[in-house]
Amino acid sequence: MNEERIEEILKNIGSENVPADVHKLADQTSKDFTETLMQKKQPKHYVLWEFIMKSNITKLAAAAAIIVIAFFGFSQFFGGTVTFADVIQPILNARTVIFDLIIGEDEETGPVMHEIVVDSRIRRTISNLPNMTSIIDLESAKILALDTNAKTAVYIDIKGSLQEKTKNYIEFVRKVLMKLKDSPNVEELGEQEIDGQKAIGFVARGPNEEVTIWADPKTAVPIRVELRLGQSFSILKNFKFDVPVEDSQMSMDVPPGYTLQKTEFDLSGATEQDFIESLRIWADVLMDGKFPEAIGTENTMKQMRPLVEKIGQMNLSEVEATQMAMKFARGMLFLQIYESGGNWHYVGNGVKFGDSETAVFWYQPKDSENYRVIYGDLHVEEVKKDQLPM
Amino acid sequence: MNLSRRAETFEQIRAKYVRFLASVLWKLTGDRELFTEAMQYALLGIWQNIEKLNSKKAGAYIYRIALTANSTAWRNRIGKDGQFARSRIRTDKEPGERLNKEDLTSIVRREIGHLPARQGRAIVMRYLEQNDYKNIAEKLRCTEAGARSHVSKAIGTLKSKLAALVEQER
Repeated sequence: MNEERIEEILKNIGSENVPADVHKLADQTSKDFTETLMQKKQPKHYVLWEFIMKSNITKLAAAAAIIVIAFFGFSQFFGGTVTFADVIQPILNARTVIFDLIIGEDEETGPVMHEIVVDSRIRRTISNLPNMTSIIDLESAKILALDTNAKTAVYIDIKGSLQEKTKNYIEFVRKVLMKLKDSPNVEELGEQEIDGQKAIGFVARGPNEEVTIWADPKTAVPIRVELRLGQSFSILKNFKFDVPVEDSQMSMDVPPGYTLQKTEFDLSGATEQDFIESLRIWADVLMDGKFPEAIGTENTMKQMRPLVEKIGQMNLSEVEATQMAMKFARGMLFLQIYESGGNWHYVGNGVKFGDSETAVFWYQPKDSENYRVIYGDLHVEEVKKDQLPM
Repeated sequence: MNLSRRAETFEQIRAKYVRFLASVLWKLTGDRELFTEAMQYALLGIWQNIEKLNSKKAGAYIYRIALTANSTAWRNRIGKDGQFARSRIRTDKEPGERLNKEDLTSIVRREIGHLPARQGRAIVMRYLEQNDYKNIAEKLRCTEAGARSHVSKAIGTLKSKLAALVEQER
């Protein structure tokens, strides 16, 4: 290979005429982009998101990002008895349940998961990742993640420990209610207007948990369920029971017109190191060098979209982009182990990334008397309880 | 700059450079799918760097945007089978014959995106836009000798990369 040969190739490339259809393609791409920009009533970042999601770079990263939500769940149940059998019947017996789920208390602006549950399958969409839909089959332990913009599909195997973690929220509520059915620890809250409707409320409390159900006082159909478990809080509302659902909506087959992407997602066995990596991404990538005000599933859900947008701007390859999203997801899965009952504390609000003196997080590993403390430079120290940073 | 003003400026800049981008990105990509992706990145680059493109340095910046868009599109390319394409080099020939003209052209297109910034711009100006060295020097704000040097170094870099790939194929 000599320099003349390179020059010849370059000259050949330079002398190529641009085909007319390529100019048309350029004009069409420009037109699409401009139209997306001109969409009214949408903030700039949303417009860019819509556009970015048409590119290959972020579609797998976004698929990775939604997966973490699938594993958020509740690991502890509590015992007790109840007398509100009528109120819980629709939840217990309906074959089809549709509802909205909000992780956290931010009902106004927090991301909303819309769930359609039919038997062991769940179709889930998330408001801040509008192009992403996941269909979860708990029986076969698989997730079909669809990017409705890019028309791509990814299968994710969740066999093993991930299957146990993957939760059907309504199934969880059912289990709680079954436990509570005969419990005396249920308090009637009387009637109130909830979500614009007259409702009767019940609250059931356990040592580390609390479930509140508001239902129509005439029909006993639940209107709203609030769950508090450890430090996690979630709201289920806008229920519909036993409404017809198209089979195609719950199908695990790749829809017509979609391309199947063969990509492996490894979310098994999330460790402390994964969590540290997710803190690094949070502070270094998302927060420009500072740790966030709060972490946890509620905040993770809010950060998924900014993360995918950031990834889109980082000039990463698709492999790198997906890996970054997966690291973030795995770290948050580790936190979820502790979130609904474990002993952990986040104190990183405003701490500078790289600060080796200031703790950002501590937790007590299962079956350990000691605590693990993570500092601003992400080094870890094991300490006794009386040595914990206050 | 508010959104409507920004959108208006974007539209002006886009209209000014769309033919340039279409020509350069087509020559750098050589296929429609890759071209569309690179074009999207270039438009996004314009939107994100609108202030710079609305200044005196716009001329230099549009080359950077085009080259970055090309580089990103190549890096993110996925094969039609859903696998990440590590190489588009054919392997159905005897060693030494494997890199045919089409393969080499494809590699050169891709590697232009990996050249140092000024070398990349110099190559685009010299061969894809067929500028003379005087013109290139003006655009790069350097002497004619400097422009020749950038082009020459770029060819040297491309030669080394191709030689390494040929060696790998043996």
